[in-house]
Amino acid sequence: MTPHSDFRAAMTWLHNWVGIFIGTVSFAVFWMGTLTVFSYEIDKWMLPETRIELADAPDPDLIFDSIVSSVPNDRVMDVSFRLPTSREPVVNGLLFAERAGFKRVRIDPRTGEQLPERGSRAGTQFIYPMHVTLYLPGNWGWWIVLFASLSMLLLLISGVIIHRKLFTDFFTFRPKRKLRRSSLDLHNVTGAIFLPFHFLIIFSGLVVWAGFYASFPWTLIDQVAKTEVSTTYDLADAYSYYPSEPEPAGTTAEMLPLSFAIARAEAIWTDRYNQTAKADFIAVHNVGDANARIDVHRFFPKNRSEAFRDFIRIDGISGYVVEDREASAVQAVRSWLAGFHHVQFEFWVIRWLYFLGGLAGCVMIGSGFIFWTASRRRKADERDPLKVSFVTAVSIGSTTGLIIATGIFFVINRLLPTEFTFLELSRPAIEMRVFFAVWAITFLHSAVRQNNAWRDQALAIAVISALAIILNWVTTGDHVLVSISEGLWAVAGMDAMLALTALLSANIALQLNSTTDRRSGKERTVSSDSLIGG
Amino acid sequence: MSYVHIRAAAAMTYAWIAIIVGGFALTAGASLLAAVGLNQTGLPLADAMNLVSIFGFLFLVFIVMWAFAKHTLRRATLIAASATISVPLAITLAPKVDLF
Repeated sequence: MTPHSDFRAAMTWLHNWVGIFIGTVSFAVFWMGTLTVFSYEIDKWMLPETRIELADAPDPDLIFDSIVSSVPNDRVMDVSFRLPTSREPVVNGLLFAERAGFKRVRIDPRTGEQLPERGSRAGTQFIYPMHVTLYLPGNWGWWIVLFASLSMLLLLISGVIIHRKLFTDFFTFRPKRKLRRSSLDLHNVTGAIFLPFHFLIIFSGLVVWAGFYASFPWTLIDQVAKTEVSTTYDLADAYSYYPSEPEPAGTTAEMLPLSFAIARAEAIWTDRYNQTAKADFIAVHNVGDANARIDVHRFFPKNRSEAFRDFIRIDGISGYVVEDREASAVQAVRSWLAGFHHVQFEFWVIRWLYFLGGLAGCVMIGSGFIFWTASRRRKADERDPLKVSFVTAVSIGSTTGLIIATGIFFVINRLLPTEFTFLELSRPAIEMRVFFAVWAITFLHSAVRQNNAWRDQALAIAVISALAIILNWVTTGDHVLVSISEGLWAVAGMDAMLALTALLSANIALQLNSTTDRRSGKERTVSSDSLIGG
Repeated sequence: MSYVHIRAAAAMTYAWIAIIVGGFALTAGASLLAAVGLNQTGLPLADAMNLVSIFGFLFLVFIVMWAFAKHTLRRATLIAASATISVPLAITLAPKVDLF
């Protein structure tokens, strides 16, 4: 291995190769994370039946009864649900019953009516899990995202070290210079301006899942050495501040109303923090049992960067508070980091800044790819063309290709009828398979078309985005003006972002087209000259 | 492909595996040992685990940077050796605080 003459040269080498090696996964995690900022809004766009008004005073007991009655003639043991919010007005409940096992139930909280099964995994059940696990089987996705996140931290720190003029980079962007220069400028500008945000968002993501990640080495030791050191959940439990689930007593008893337990917990928090505190998540253990417990959570306070901090367990029969722990200093730090990462507080300006920061991360990774290939293409054309061609194909497929696949995910959602099935595949499964198939095709297309694929795929993004807007209008009747007039800001915002994407992509495609025309014109002139001359 | 190329590729592969896998194992072992130690001084287990995890990720990143900065092969071997010591030590001590 070549010894590096100085630290900065070593870090440059590390930055280049780790970046190229992990760029595809990092882009996917960043892109899906950026969309997750608006996952509930994407849900509203993709699932038109959820475009309902928020219930004035949602009745938790009505919601609870509706969830329990969704499995008649079965013994329900556990129920959990998030109380409706303006971003998620429909209740997505989860129950565990003796015969039915785990079952998801959707409830309209205004009437308690059960809604049909989701026709799409949409934002919260596809885009968010894709951000966390890439939808890979087993623990592979977790491993890969962990590796990508650690690599991104490494890239950020090594990036700071290798830049001689970090603060000058804030203001240096020369789009009209050669591609090699302008792509590096863009990489530096997006990296430097959003450096604190990128560092914190990656670091907090690691801390959020620390319990799960930390157990990996021990489960790996178990598998390799055939020992029984630990299971994933043993160690993950050690990170948890929540008490374990209570055992059932085995005798039936009349439960108190959930509204009573919620009011009790909210009163305790309001007193503790000297401000109104609202519960947002309820979990009921041992339903109808003498040892029933009602866990009242305040996962995400609306006015603070905080998550998973406030929790009170109440005896479901007597109403006594069984568990109420004030957060320790370490828990408060962890809670702040988790709140920062999950961005569930209700400040829309900050939410848009997160979105912008996420997009900047995508641009940083994409421009890094472009710089790498642009700075090697000329030399590589003579020496090692295959290496640069491969990286070019991977760069395009993993950036614009992923955006195309996301666009197709939206389009196919609006095209397929609600009850559509194909070869025993449900509608959500078809949407997901189309997403992955289209993504794979974009890699093939990039491999064949090489640098021209940038233009082709930019054009495809423009067309697909425009098509998604039109299809939303045709299938739901909610075009932008209707959405705004009816107060459907999530739908209007999604359409507006799609329109912006279409315009930007069309503009990029046109610019790339004129660059290609100029270049091919030059090549024609050169070849004619050489013919005349020679 | 010459002998020099093969030797370089083998060294590079060894270095990457030793640094990444060894670094991860070393961090896991060292973190667990630190958590056990903190717990023994009276810090609740969940606090100890979360506290060391916050620093553990940074520790791993700096290990990788340190290893690639200079004398990579020597440092990779040192990381792998440290992991080999810290992991069994952590497995031995962790049951004392009911971790496994």
